[in-house]
Order: sequence, then structure tokens, then C-alpha cells
Amino acid sequence: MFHCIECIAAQPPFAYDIDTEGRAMFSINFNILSDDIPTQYPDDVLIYLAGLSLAQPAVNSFIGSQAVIPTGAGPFALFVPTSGYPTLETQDSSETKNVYVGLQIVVRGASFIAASNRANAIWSALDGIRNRNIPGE
Amino acid sequence: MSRAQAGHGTLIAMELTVPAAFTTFAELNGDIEFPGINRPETEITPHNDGIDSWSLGVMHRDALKFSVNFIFDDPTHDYSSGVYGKLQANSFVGFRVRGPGVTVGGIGADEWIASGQVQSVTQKAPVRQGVRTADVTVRLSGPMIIAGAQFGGSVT
Repeated sequence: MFHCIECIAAQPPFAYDIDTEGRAMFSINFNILSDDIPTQYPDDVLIYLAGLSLAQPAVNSFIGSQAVIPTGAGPFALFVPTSGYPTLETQDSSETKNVYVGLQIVVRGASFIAASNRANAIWSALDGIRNRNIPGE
Repeated sequence: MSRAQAGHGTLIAMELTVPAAFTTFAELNGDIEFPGINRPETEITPHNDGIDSWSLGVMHRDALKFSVNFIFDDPTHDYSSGVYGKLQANSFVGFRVRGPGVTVGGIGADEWIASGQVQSVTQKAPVRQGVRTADVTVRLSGPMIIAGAQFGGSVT
């Protein structure tokens, strides 16, 4: 669990490619500000979305660049940590720094509409989360 | 070899009550600007001279300005003992600006101590991205102690 000061999407989901199975791919990119170092934040975000019935871990949602995405229509979501912004420091280094991390969620599906709908649902659920613990209080 | 030092670790503290130990402001963010100190000038060049002459007056200080990640219930920020409380009461309290040089020269070696009043507090709440912050201005008055010695005492 980590404390999320804010989770802001860089932009709405956008279709950017098709994978080797011809599935449409949508990307959603988030910048997450936390008041600690969220080492497992992709997992925490996935669990949070699972609580909203927007993800099923290891079934239609996976974490990390080494994850093996199943074949099939999907839509499947892959959660990948990305670079964030420089840390927001305070002058007192003994205080917790506010850390910006990045998270890319790639949704792919045989149906463009299904992949788009799932990407938009995830975007709506995560964009603008502020001042709460992820996955739960 | 240069002896330059990184500025990170500069801290500002305030007496929450008078007299009391200094309490460091929580979550000082951004660059800290020590008050500029200057002497106003008056030109005194007489007609007799072929070059200018000046007289410098009493030292003046710029206001001490700093910003924080605003924490509404922190005793250094709040409406009771914090900057908002001091602003309302218009009270004179002690302020201390301590540079990172204390790690080299010891406590007192790199610090300014002065009395002052909180002159302004401007709080900001971003709508989309970023944390709550507050910009604080303190007007210092009277002599200071810099590096353990009085700075700007009475005219004898």
C-alpha cells in the first residue's frame, strides 16, 4: 500500500499500435505523486482496480515488461512502471520526499471498441485520485 | 579545490511561543532566499569636486521569504501557533535561518537569528496537479545575530 497524493493521467487513452496478433493497443500514462517510495505501486494500483471490478490479476491484467500476455480476444491490460518526474524535495532531508513515479497501462484487445472501453474505464477510475491510500484505506 | 556547498538543508525556524525553543518549519520547499541587506545611498558630490561622492545610510533588509508544502494542522503553519496565528496576532517572535554550513562549522556558525513579524501568507491549492503550498513573508526588525555575533546594533 502507498499513500497517493495524486494520480494524474497525462492524457486520455489513445490507440497507438497493434500487437503481433493484430489486437488494438491503447496506452494510458499516469504520473503518481506519493509521500513515500511506492515500491510495489503497479501491484497496488492493480489491486485497487480489481476492487472496482475493472481488473482480474493474472487473468486479464498483468504487471511488468516480462509478463506474458495470453493469446485471445482480451481485452488484456499490462501495468508497466515508467519514469516519473524529479522528486519534490523539502529542505529537511529527514522528511519524506514526495516521489513522482510513472505508470503506463496498455490495454489490448481484438475488438477496438472493447479495448477502448476498457482503457477508458481504467482511465476514469484512476485519473484524479487524490489524498488516499492505494489500494485501500 | 572549491569549497562550494549545496544549498539543500537550509532550514528556517520560528519561536512558536515567546520565549521558546525554535521549531523548524515543516516541509520547507523551494529555494530559500536569505534577506538581502543593503544600505541606501545619498549622493553628496559638491560642486567643488570633479568626481562623485556618496554616503551610505543605515542597513536595510529585504523581507525573509520562503514557501512550504502547506500542512493545515502543523503547528508551524496553522491558525493558532503557526504563521497564520502570528499574522493575526502581529506578534514579534524569533526567527532563525540556518544554512547547511552548520555541518561544517557547528551550530551557530551558519545561521541568522532575528526578531520579526509574519507579514503575509498566501496559500495555493492547485486544481489539477501539485500539492497545497503557502508563500510566507516575514519582516525582520532590529539587530540580528549572524554566526554568533551581533549584526546591526545600536549607534554609539
